[in-house]
Amino acid sequence: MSMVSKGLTLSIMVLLLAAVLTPITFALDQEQPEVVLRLFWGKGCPHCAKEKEFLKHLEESDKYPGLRIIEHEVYHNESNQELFKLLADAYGKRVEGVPTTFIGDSVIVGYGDYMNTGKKIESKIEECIHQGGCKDPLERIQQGETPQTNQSSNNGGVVTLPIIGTLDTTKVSLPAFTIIIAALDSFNPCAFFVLLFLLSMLIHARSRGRMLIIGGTYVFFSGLIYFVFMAAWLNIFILAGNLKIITLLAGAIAVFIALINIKEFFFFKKGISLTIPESAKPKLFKRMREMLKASSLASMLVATVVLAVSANVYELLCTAGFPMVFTRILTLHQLSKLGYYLYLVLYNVIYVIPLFIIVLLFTLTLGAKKLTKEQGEALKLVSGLMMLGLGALLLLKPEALNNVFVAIILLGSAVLVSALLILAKRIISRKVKKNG
Amino acid sequence: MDEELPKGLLYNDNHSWVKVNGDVVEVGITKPFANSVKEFVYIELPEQGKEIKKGETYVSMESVKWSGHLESPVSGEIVEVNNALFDEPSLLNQDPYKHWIMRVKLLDKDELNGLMDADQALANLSCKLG
Repeated sequence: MSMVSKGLTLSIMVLLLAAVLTPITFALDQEQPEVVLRLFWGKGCPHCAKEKEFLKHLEESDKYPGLRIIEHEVYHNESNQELFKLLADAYGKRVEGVPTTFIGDSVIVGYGDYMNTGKKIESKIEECIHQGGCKDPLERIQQGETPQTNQSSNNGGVVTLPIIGTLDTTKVSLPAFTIIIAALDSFNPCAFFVLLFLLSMLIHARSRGRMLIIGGTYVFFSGLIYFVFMAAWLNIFILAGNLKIITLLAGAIAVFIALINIKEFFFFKKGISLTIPESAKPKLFKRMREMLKASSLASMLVATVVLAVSANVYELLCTAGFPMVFTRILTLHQLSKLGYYLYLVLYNVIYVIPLFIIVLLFTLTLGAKKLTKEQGEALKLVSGLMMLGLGALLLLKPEALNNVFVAIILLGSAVLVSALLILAKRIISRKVKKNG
Repeated sequence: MDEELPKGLLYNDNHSWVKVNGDVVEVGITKPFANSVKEFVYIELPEQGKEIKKGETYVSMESVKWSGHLESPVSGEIVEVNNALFDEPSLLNQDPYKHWIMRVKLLDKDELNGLMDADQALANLSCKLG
């Protein structure tokens, strides 16, 4: 296992280095199939102006080199009006207003903003690319094809909830999903392992100030390393694009990791285990003790940063699942580069909150606490079950993950099943002990 | 079972030995136990001056292969702890009989009658592992 874990650690570090150094503005060099979009607009229509600006920006960004946009002004051009009616009839739509966008089998009426309609148009473009391109809607009709219409409006997934009222799920799903996954990821025995021992050792020094500074520094750099790791995954997935095979691979890896974590609950450290390697423990603890002996606060801080880097690299082995799954799901949403990174920041802020709380509790109480074997097993079980659900959805129905309620149901189920299994295990253990 | 336990010490069934020096005893861990769990990396020592009861946790430890705590073989006041072990827990692997963990002033000397001698402890150990 030692050789395997060394190999894995080295692979992760190479992956990290390669992917982080790859500029995110790298444009996909491969040839993209042609996607033709026809826009019907009116001079003076403000919504039309917004969509034209969006499409112009899309063309200039060169994100979709195969995209061809054909625009028709209809307020002052009768032939364009006839063309509009022709296409609308073929697509089974009434001419309702402008802007109206025809792409593939879809008709999108109106334009609100990027987060709503802009994203929808981009996802249609992506869909076309995956299908090998979308012909000019007019050409299709002239060749006698009948579009399989898929009516879209520029309203997102608006739902009405009791008490809360109207909720646009497209606006809350991804932030809520991020918070749920990050929170679950943060309750990770590997993430707690080194921090708890570090703080226990600091109690020995009996200085609240030092504990707060050192503990806080460790947690901050842990979050930073995690962010860099997730940025690496993000770059990889963006380069790979929205290819289905990549989603399937991510799902398969997630399921594999999930099964290992679930196995830990039943057969702790037997067979493959995603934990900090045993060979790494003496070195980590030695670093912690040397850090305590540092002559000044400054040197102690430097030693803390070094400890955070080395500990978190080891911890990546057992915390790889959620970051990978989350960044894959993130890249299935059409966001700007800044948007992706902001979500990573949100994820990591949520991720470090429990760690900061632990630091505060230790500082306030000066009491040492350790995670028991049973608590560690339970956490692995919950996260394993949740990851199993996420992995399965990535394999079978990734679009379901756009709905935050799916994540909530998954989490609830994982907690419930875990509680039942833990209870069953305790009952069986007691019976075995009783029978001798 | 190749491991021998030193004569002259007393043992409980939780991997701990006791060396009697009048009213004060030294408490440590056995070599078979230290060998089985591999290198110790962390030790949470008991608190000097604290009262401890037989059967209560007196030390928590983390090793490469094990994590847990041990039960005290005696009751009394902890008069001294071996702080060197905090800085170098692996001393317990090097010579567990030289590096005691705590010194306890006994509350009730009769408690020692409940402990095992080396032969009894070895038989106990062999039975469990065999």
